[in-house]
Amino acid sequence: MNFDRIKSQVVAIVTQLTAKYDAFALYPAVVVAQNADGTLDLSPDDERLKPGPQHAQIRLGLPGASVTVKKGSRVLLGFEGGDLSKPIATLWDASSLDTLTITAGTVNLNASGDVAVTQTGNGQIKLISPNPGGIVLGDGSGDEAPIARVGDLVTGSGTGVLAGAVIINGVPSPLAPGTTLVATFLGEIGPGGATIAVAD
Amino acid sequence: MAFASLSGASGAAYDVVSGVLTVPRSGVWHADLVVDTDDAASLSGALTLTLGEGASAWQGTFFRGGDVFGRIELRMVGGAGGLAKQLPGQSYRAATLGTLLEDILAGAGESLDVTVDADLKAQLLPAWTRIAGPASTQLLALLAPLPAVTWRVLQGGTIWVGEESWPDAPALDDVQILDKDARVGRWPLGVTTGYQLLPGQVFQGLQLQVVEHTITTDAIRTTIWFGS
Repeated sequence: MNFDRIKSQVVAIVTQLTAKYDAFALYPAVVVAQNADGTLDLSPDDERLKPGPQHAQIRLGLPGASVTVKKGSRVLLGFEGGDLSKPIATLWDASSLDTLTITAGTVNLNASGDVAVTQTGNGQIKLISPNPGGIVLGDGSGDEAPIARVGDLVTGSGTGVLAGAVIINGVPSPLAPGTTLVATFLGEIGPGGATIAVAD
Repeated sequence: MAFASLSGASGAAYDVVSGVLTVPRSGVWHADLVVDTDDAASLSGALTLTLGEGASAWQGTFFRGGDVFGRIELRMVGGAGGLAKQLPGQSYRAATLGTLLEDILAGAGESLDVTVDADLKAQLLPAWTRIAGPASTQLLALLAPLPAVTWRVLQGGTIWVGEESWPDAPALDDVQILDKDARVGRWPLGVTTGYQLLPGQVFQGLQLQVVEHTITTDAIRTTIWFGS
């Protein structure tokens, strides 16, 4: 009895019955091109899947997010629900990203949502932090300072030398020319221009 | 006089001494035959099995066999016998089911039957990936999302794909039911023209799943399997 022939026939049957499960696997692939609609043309590593699907949908796992990726990026090719008519690209390596776009009204930076970035109705970007001075700018060297907002009070001081006499209500003051004066001033941040300029 | 004969490309017909023709509702029919000749060369490639003095002709292909004590024992399969052929992968975008069927079958050397429903062939798939492998596996994967659709090799050797319509089997003269095995849904029949029965037909209220014709030198006996 030819067991090899029998076994090969059993293998053929099992292969046919389990072929669908190949469609549930994730296959390493390379991005050949990204189309205008954001979909990807892919070239799988697995020879069985070459030449690879075109216009595979990207599944980022993050609603509202879209990406542009570099040609040559490595992804995993899958098929939604094991359906060979629905190729998708998922999971990227670290060096793949060109642009990340997040379409969201608010981005919460902590779990409670009280630290957040929000786009307002008139197109402004709002940074919210509950702690006074909670939003700071710095150069990464540890030298950081809170951001000043329109209406915040600012104080300053300066010194100067009196160049001439001071007359108050027609009466000379005791301050003689050459006297060093120390002046302090109080003001507030104005609305400024349309862009925020951060001084170096 | 033999009740069945087998011929090859040369056209020379040889008597079938014995054999079994098995015709499933889904898949490829095949026939295991003992033929009264030792001319193996004339029975290679495309073959025609004729039953009932030419009333029923089955187009297939030599699969395996050889000379056994002066007679040829062989297996023939329906169509071109190409569904085991390894096909490469291919990706499609906005392709019809008909295009995919024809590509797979053409790669296997098989042909799609002209009676396949036009609406079925016109179904548009936004995308499809054929994973490299046997043509039969690619065909099954393509039809997997359509559970009501089946496929089989027809008597003429082409491949039909579609939903069963379950037409009534032709009326047969002098049919005797020789036995009834309700456990497996099997009836051997006593009828001389049983080769007219095909899977996908309804015979005496029964949906035929497999039809098997046993050939001897003096008769052709038909056994039917039925059920879901």
